[in-house]
Amino acid sequence: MQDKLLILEGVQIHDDIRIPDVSLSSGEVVLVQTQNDLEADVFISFLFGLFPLKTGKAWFSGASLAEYKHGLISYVDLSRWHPKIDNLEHFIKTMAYAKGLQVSYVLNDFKRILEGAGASYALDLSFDEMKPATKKVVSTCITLSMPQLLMVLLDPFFGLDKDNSLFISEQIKKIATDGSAFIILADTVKTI
Amino acid sequence: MMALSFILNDVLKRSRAFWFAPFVLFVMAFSVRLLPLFVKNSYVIYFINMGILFLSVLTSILYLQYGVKKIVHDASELKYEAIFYKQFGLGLNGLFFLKLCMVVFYFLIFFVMISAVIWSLELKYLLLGLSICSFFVMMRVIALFFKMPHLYYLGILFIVISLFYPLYILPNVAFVFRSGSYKVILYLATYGLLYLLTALKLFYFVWREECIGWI
Repeated sequence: MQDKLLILEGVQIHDDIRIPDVSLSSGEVVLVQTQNDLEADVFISFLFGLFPLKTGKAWFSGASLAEYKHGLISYVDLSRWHPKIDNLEHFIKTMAYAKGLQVSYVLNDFKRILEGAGASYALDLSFDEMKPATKKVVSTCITLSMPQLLMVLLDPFFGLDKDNSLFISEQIKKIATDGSAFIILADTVKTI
Repeated sequence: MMALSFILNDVLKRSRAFWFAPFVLFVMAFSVRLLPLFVKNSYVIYFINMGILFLSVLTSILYLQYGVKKIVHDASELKYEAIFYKQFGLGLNGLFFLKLCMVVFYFLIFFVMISAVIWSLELKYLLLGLSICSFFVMMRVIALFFKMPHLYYLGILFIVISLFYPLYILPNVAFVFRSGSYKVILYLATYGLLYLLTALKLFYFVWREECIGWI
């Protein structure tokens, strides 16, 4: 029990809304299958402390999830909201700085992952020019370039072909070997 | 607090007019003092000055409303914004406090810049600023609460209508102080402050509810 990173047991945030049970250790990859986007939205919102816990047990890194205050969980989805910033490179630099990581290292890693995912063209685009599908791929690459204790990915293989999906899978495996845990949220098994 | 770099970036990059507006107003208000240097003293100058002052106040109110709307996003964006900043360790309370600081800072830039030039009207303008600021915050709450974003723009209408109110009806400040009825001003100022605090409190509750979502 002590070595578990995240424990969600019988969590209920409303009378008829239940969060799936998750027991996750460092270096593990867990898939949470959701019926629709709303379920994924509720799960992520709960993980980031936006829903108060009604019943059940929610622990993260040895403390109650409600008391969690440090930035150890990473989740980026640019397709929903993003701060207004000139270009992607500036965004990565600011984000790496805000997370206290080495900026040049993160930037190089991000470019490498973006190339592997076949979305290098996004570097030349502004945020307004990007389509939602591009923003999703870029979000996955940003999450993977800044490893944290727990990383949440929402539909990471959305809009990717076979080779690119394989590359992203290898990256996830590589980062998980280093000790980060992953929660992958997806609505259909087909996309996985 | 490293997330502050993101928030500042966000607000700075929202629009050029957002930060440029106070300087435009500064020049407009300053032109009232500069005009007598170029134009011979006549009765016309008073009308021109009046027109410029009226325009500067009107545009400052429009820009302030626009600015507050830029700092506090739409209801649909609030939740995802809160999630984004949460990963830097910035909670709901901290985020709200930073947003509040920005609204106050933006409000100060506007009204200090105008009042710094128009010395004689300094007090009036700051009080006007305080009441307008709290009014905007209240209108934002009502718009968020009833999920009717267009309701927010009714505020502009009220303020613009109030600009046509004949100012000579208001009591002369010097007369009020000499006659000892300054207690009325203190009472009104306290009432205004309470109104502002209540508006902020309500705003916080509605904002938190919007961040949490539909539950």
